[in-house]
Amino acid sequence: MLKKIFAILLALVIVFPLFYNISLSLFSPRDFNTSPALFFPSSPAFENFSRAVSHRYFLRYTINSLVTATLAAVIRTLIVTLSAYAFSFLHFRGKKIILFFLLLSAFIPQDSLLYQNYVTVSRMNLTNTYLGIIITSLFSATQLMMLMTAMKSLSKDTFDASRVDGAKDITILFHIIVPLTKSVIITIFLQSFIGVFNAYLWPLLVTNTPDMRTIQIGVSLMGYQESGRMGPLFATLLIILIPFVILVVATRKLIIKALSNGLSY
Amino acid sequence: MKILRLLPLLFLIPAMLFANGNTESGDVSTVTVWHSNSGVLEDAFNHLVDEFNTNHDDIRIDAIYQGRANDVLTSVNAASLAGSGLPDIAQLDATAGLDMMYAPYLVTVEELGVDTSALIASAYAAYDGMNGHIGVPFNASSLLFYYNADLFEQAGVNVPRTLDEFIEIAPVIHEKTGVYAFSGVPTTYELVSFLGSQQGGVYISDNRNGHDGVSTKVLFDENGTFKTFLEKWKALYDTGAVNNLTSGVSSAFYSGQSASMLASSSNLSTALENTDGLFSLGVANVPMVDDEATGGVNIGGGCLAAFTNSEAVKEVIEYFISPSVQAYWAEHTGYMPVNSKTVESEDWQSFIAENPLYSVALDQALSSSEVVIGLWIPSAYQVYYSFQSTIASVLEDGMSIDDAVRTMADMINTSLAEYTRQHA
Amino acid sequence: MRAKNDKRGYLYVLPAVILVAVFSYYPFLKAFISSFFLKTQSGEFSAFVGLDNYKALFSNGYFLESVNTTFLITAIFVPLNTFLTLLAASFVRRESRFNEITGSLYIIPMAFSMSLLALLFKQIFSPTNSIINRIFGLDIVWLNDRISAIFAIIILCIFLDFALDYILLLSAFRKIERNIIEASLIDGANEIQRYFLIELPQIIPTLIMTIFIAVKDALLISAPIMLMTEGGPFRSTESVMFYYYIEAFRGQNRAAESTISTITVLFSALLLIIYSAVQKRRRHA
Repeated sequence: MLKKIFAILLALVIVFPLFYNISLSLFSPRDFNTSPALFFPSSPAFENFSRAVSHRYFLRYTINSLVTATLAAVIRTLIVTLSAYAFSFLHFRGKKIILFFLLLSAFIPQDSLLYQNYVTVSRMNLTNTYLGIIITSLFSATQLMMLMTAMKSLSKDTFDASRVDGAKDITILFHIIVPLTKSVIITIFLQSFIGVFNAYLWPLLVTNTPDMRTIQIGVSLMGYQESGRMGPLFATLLIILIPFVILVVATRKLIIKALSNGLSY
Repeated sequence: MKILRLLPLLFLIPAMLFANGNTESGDVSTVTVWHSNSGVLEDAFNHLVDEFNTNHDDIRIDAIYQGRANDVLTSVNAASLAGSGLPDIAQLDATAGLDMMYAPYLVTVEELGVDTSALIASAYAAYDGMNGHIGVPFNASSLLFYYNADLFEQAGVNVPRTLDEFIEIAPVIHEKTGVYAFSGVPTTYELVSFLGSQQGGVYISDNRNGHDGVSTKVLFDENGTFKTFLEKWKALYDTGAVNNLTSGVSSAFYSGQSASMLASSSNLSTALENTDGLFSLGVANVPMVDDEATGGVNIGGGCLAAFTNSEAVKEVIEYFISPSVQAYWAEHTGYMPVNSKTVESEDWQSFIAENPLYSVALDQALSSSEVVIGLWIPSAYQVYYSFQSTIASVLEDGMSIDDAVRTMADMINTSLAEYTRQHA
Repeated sequence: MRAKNDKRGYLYVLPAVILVAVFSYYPFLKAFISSFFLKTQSGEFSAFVGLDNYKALFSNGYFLESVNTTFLITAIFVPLNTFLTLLAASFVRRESRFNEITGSLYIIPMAFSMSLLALLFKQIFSPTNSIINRIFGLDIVWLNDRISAIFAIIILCIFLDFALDYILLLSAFRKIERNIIEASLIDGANEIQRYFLIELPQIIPTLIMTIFIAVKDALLISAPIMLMTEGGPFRSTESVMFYYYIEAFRGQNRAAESTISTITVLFSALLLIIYSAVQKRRRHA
């Protein structure tokens, strides 16, 4: 019983930011300056929401985020799957060295190379493009390792049999291997999506037009904070947040199953 | 297999990857302006931009908010690495001074050939560098003393003219109203006035505060100005009526938790908006360190720096400093007009007659010494916080004033030396 | 049978090889080499200076302070985060209706992305009217001194990592073979003994992984600080990576940029080697 009480207390703490965001999104300017802080708005300021959605870039930022995260997740999953397939089932000279070369890159955190990578990407004229936003996150050595582990556990016979039938790589890969390693591939896709969707510093650097900004950097560049218009800021946050809360809670079983396959760091 | 049916979609990806928002059309030249105006400032700025765009068929201003002034500088520095992607015009402040003075891509006001004859001389001089003016003043401001007139009245005190007077009245305010007399810890912006105004006006570092080439050393240790200031400020703090806030200073003031603050005149409209119906807002000249400190305040705010040399850019810049634009801008924000014709106009005179708060900054700036100008040093952003932390150490942790002066001088001198080492 | 040479293999690994070469090895080598030279504004090498750039970096008080702050954040964040996520996963590790509902609340932080949560926490820890003060009856001016600012940043980081760590640990608990637990039931072990003697040892590899991820996240922290405190008050909450960002992009300081890149890459490589060694030793033990 005591355990249940603590479990509920912890849940209350965890959910508090969400509750408080809902409350803040209805605060009037004066509520923000009231001391001590209020739990609930004095009277709900629904105009915060109309101000939030009428911001000229709100929709654009959101779309940019969804597009870049989806694109990056699709491409990265494809690149990781193709190379995992090659390393697991094909024989070619230098395979071991190339694999070592790829896996060793896990030791190099890209956060430390922000500046050098920015110089590269800008010399390639990729600033303010979707490709520029995602290009440094299109491969992950740890995900390659994860998928290779999953592929290794498959019976070699499955592959050899279809090989004898003269099936093409693409057919084998997408018809036989991918369905068998589906849950790991979904994990890779999800992790990539979350990673790119949450990225902050990199998109801040490679975009400088509002048309290309993502929502992560967009919310702090809507100018709400500097001018003390906090109500619309929290209304904006809530509008972005709610679909994700619903999504996360509704698909929690899938998420838990997918992420329990392992994790890339 | 379902996934195969999705393959055609993959061919759409390349098209999306290179998509960007730029739409270039034939005869219209687009002038991109990166700015730092948010809230009421952005509303006013966008109004001016829209007005320009409606009246011009051949030039279109594309105004992009890049965050605060130092965020604009970060974006400009980043774009300059790329060799492309620089805007045509950027709105920058004094922290950009050193970078811009040496920036190969900068087009000076002289090179661009802007007509600056109507600009208020001291506002224009703020951007005078070794190779010419780095930009024209657009959003000129000066430091102001904001006070809660209701609380001052309740305490029965007058606005202080000097720190000595402030030291006398601060405990009275604290005692009679129960709130702090002042919130905040001075930073570079405040110190340029607090130090520079002393002894009738002095420089803070050599080479004219870095405007004639990178400074080699600071002067505030030799001439004793920092020590004098710290003594007064410590006395003020020791009254117990000062709250050392480093963030949330304005919300503490708006919510009536402190009776005064120092802030840029550009906050005036925002302050009026935030205090409307709560209390009556007053603004006054910044209290001076002592009676000999007659140098006044420096003109801060920002300038428009050009990175493209074209007729269109020149026309846009001249538009932004024109009398009517400056009048609109000043009346809607609290910045002071930089065009002398604006100041002389009947429109402005009647505006300030009705809104006397809006004239304080300009009057204060016009009576200030030309020696009191913005500090152009490397790592300007970092120095900002160093000043705060050193002052706070003196106030709260018992650091001696002599140590504080030495620490600060060493810190800036070291960063000047490091800059010189890397750029010899 | 002789191994044949599937040339197509090269084609399949090519994108990965290019990406890694261009965005991991090349920038690291460039930063490494640059760290021994002076460079002009436009990026050309101007002089070889040996270790001078490193000396300048390590004689800079603010850099040393940022190292100090980073380790302080790591030292508090990692144990606290591990304890709380382990607690959450332990509470609901058995499958039941109650645990299902409570557990679904625990993953809600996953819906928040980093910058959204940071902006929200900035308000929660407002220096003028913090709701935290209201709830706990405190009188703290949050974010206005180093200790309270670092504390607020750490709480933010816990929320950022909470859901993921919780899920990993929960799955580890639920993967424990039934018969191990049942065997202990027959042995007459009570609930607490079973938890500490049977279940906890089974999830140690996952626990080590979450600890390692937490260490790495804490050591490389920058964006949450940028959004919450901007390194303030008084530059007292700057992390190494925040300092790097400011120097590289705002300060145009090539020397600091290349030296910090080099040092942090080497340091995190060292960490990964330690991690692999720990996991390997466990497997052989």
